[in-house]
Amino acid sequence: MTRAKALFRAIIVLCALWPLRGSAADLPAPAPAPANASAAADKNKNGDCAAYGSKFFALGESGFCSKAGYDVMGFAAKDFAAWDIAMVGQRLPSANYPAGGVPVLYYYDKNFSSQTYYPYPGVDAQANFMAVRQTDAGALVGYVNLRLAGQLEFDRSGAVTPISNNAVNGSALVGLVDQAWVRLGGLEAGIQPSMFGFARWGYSVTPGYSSLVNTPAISYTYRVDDLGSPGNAASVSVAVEDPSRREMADGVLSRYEATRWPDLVAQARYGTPSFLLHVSGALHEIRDAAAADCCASPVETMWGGAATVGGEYRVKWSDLFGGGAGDMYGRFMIQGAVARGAIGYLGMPFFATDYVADADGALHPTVGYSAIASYEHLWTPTLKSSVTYSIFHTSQTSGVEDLSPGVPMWFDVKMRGSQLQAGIEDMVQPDLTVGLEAGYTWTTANGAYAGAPAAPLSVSFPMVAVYVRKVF
Amino acid sequence: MLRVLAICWLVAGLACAANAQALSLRQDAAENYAYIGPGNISSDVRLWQTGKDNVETTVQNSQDNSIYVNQRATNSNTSTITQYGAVNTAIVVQQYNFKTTVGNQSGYVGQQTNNGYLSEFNSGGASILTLTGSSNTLISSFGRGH
Repeated sequence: MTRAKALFRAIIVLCALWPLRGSAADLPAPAPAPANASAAADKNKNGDCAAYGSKFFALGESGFCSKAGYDVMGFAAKDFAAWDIAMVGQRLPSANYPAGGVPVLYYYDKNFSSQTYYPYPGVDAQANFMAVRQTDAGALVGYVNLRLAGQLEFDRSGAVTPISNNAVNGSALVGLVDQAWVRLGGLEAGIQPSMFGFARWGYSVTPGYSSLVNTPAISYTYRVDDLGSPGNAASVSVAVEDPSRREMADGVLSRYEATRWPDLVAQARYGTPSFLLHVSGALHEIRDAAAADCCASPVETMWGGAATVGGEYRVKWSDLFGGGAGDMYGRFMIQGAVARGAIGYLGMPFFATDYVADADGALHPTVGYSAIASYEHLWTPTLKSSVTYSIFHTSQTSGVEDLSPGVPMWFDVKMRGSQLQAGIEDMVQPDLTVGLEAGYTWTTANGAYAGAPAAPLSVSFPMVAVYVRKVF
Repeated sequence: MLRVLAICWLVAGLACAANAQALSLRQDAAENYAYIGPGNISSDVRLWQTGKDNVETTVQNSQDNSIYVNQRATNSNTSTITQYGAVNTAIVVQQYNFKTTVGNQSGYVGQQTNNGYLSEFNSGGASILTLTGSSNTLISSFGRGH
């Protein structure tokens, strides 16, 4: 079997595995849980851990099989964005709210040339550990993945600033724990991939406009195997997830109260050896504190929501175009998401808040959508390339409020953007890959203030990155 | 003659306004809105608005307050000035049916001045300007990271 075929088969197996989600922690196919759990533990002791995969080993006399690994990616990139759109939120003082109450959102062209003048190096390193044991209630699995991702920014003035790429709510330390969960049967608790996200944000190394978030959550998945024919499977999942990791609030136009309901997320998936369909939805409570901060208005509550549909198809080209296509393989994904009051589910840059709170407490949820299409082509057993195109759009408004008697103010700001990415990657040695990726980004802002149209503002810029990744 | 008197009054008033250097502000979009409310900071502000509709609101609470407003509109001028202090100077000059071409500047500037925090937004037909103090400056900034 060629390496390409082996890789393709492995991809198919991973696609079909429990719980039909794109987690890095998906287990290789374990043997079905035996009726007698202690017997399974004995199997582990006896060296049957290889059934989970070649890298699994018995964890002493505990009955657990475990696996540890780590990978490191180093990269150098150049961001050519000398100018980009920046946003400013303000509460304008008014006759009724002299301390500042009427919300307004500005956009403008901001100079970033100082930060982006030099190329920058970065690293994305991960270390993980998994332990699994069969029990009467199903597989008991524990998984921890620690991740350190960041880059150095060389300011034009000579200053060097370290930047975390996976900080959580501004904390690099919290972001260090990428995943940490325990799963028993279909029940999973801990920091885990959100049930909302599709398998990936495109096949490019840099993310497209799609939401993949690891979050503290409790989830349950019910799975049916061999649905219709062998190899087909379906699953339904529900989860309660930490809402703070999805917050898009600036603290002025919108600010969340600390105490509120977790996000309620549901997911359904259907997979065959070559196809995966994903549907998910989320409810996100908005409990505003911004209007109380500025204007002593009552705390208002409403529910935002988001939904997404995605599909992924994997193909051996010779199956479609005959033997002339050789051993080339490909996979294609497409996904679309919509949100209302839950912009964090769109996977877009921070150009809009989840909602805008008027001075009197009335809430105006921001609406938007994002979509992504991506294709990855395996030219040879070691060489592959990818192309990804993604878009987003948001519409953010406020209510009408008087600045002074007879002088109403409101705003309506729309943001749209697109991004094209293309990359090529070569496995120069087993577990060692080098790659090159380039992208181009377009973004446009358009708005109106008290009905007066503002000028549209558009920016565009390229980026390029080279990287080396080693898996241990 | 009236203009000469107004200028003299302005010069005298500005001379009394303590500490603050005069801050000159201009707006020339079709729709201009300005709020001058630096709280308890002594302020000396001169504002020129040229456009279709001009709106200006001033609330000055310090000991020494000075405001000069010059509005030229094709449609409407609105100015509301409230001053609490020991020395207050206010001059408003308004002209209607003033034929002019409106500007089309775009951009945002936010900066601390001797007269308070100045926020100026211009884009197409809209211009919004505020001069605020520590108690009424509520501003955030966000966007894509680089």
